[in-house]
Amino acid sequence: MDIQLDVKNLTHVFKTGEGIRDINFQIKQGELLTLLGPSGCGKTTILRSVGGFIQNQQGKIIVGQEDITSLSPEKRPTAMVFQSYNLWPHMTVFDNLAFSMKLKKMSKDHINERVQWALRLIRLENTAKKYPSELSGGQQQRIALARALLLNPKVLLLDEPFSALDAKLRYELREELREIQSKENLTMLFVTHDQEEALSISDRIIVMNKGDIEQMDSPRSIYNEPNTLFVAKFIGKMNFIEIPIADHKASIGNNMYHFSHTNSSKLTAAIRPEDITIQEGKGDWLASIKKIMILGHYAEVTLETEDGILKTFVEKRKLESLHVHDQVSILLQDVRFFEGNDWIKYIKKEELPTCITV
Amino acid sequence: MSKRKENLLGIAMVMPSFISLLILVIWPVMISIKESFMNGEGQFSFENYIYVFTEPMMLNNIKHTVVVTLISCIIVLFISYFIAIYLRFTSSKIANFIRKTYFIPMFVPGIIAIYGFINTYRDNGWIARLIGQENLPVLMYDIKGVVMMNMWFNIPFTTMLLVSALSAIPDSVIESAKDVGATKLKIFWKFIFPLSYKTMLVATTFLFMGIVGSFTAPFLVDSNAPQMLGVSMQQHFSVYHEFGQASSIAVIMFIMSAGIGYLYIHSMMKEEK
Repeated sequence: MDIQLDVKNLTHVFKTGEGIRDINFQIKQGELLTLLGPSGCGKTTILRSVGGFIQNQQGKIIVGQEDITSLSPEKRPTAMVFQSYNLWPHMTVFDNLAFSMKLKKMSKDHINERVQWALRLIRLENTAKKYPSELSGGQQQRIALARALLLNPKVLLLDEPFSALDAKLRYELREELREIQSKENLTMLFVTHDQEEALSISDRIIVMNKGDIEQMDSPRSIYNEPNTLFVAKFIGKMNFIEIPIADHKASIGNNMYHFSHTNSSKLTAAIRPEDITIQEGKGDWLASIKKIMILGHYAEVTLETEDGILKTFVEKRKLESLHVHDQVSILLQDVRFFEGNDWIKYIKKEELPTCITV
Repeated sequence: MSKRKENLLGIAMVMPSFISLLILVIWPVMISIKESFMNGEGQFSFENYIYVFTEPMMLNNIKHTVVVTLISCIIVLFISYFIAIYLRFTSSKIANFIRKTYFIPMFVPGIIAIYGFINTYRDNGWIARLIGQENLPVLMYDIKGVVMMNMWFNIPFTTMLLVSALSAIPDSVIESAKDVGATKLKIFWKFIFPLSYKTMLVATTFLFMGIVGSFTAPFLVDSNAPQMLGVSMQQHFSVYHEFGQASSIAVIMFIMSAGIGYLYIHSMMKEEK
């Protein structure tokens, strides 16, 4: 597939020292790429650079075949949907949508037709004559999306467009955006600090931290195979325990892991709650149940082991047999180790002869 | 408490201020209006109004008042809007300096400012002594002096109003306009101006009312003839002891202000629809 947006060596450091350093990535035609990270990580800086609202100190931005690095926002083939206060409050919905086409001196019929098309796309056909203040937050953001789409942008930029909305609406709009995106085959660069949002709508995610790219991958890989401790901490729920390492070997419960080379004396083991199963009989590890918290159709169970506290999820129907202070044995399906911030692969897993049974 | 008692308590709490308003403002206003329709013998007549609208001196005064007010309003609005736009969209050191200092004139007592102005700009004042009397146009005791004084008194507050109106326009409004391809000129006329126009109207109303009824500055720096209506009224009142005529001038000034007030409210209501 064609590369639609190519960002090369992008650098922009603010007076405060924050900013982005040497950022490289590409977006394919029709792809939705998300920039994800905590506030201040530089994701918005990248987005605003692509939109032309920041003149970069270094680097190149290429859309299609065209180098747009030095173009002003009004001349760029990009369109942006802002976080909030998106619509122009003194214009009706129709005028908001038609403004860009009026600037281009398009015919009235054509403008009408396009506005109707856009309103149909976002399913708000009856709002043309209303003012933004008469619309709900979700409707306003949809109009803002339509306005950006009417520019026929080669790359659509979205700056946390749903963050001001309540959870339910956010969920709905997310789905709708994904639908429109695949229907119109849009290329999108999406910024969010909400990892759930990023995981659910993206084709690929860039996780950012302090102006650098930590990992660029599909949502599944980001979740299952975090490359750095930062990503592991930032995405989803994760248990972390520090374990000592000696002679290239470290053990968790009943398992001994072998490493080819390590420099430090301890590692961080990261285990997803869903990779821990409580079971009867033989297991990897012994634990006692500390707390059971019902969260609807499942429960979060806090376990105490000799290496630290672990959390796991248990289905509703399996809960009956579990009680606080029970001794249970647990099985680990997947463990990922980090040395400092970096992922370190173990070469061998060995089961110790001591058998744990409850 | 019952509903009735609550109502009575509410009325009782409003009463003191209402009564003082009645005694100190509404009553004297009614008397003035009544007085303006009475001749020297205490009979009903239009004599005073006929005097105000036929006497050449008074006609000149009315014309002078309107001219001074309009010129001052236009100049003040223009300069204030310019400063406000500059402050909203610039963050240089000069802009920061202006941002911190532009309202200082509001803290200088009026009479002191006027005294300073007279000493600086009169035909034998500081500037005249520096550049030579023949090089300085007549500023004091002239319409130019009053307009300058009005600028000094009104620019800071008007600027403050406009700055707050302009900073209420979110950056994303302007950036999204840029994003869809609007040039700087288009952004001003299609976005900044329409979004700050209401405040302009408020500022104009304040300016007009303040300047139409002003007394101190015109009394001290304006020419002896023609005079602004505030000064003229004071003269009719305390120099000529023509209370009826003074009252009719007051009523005319009130009607001018009320007219602008009406236009203001009318346009606000239209906007809300």
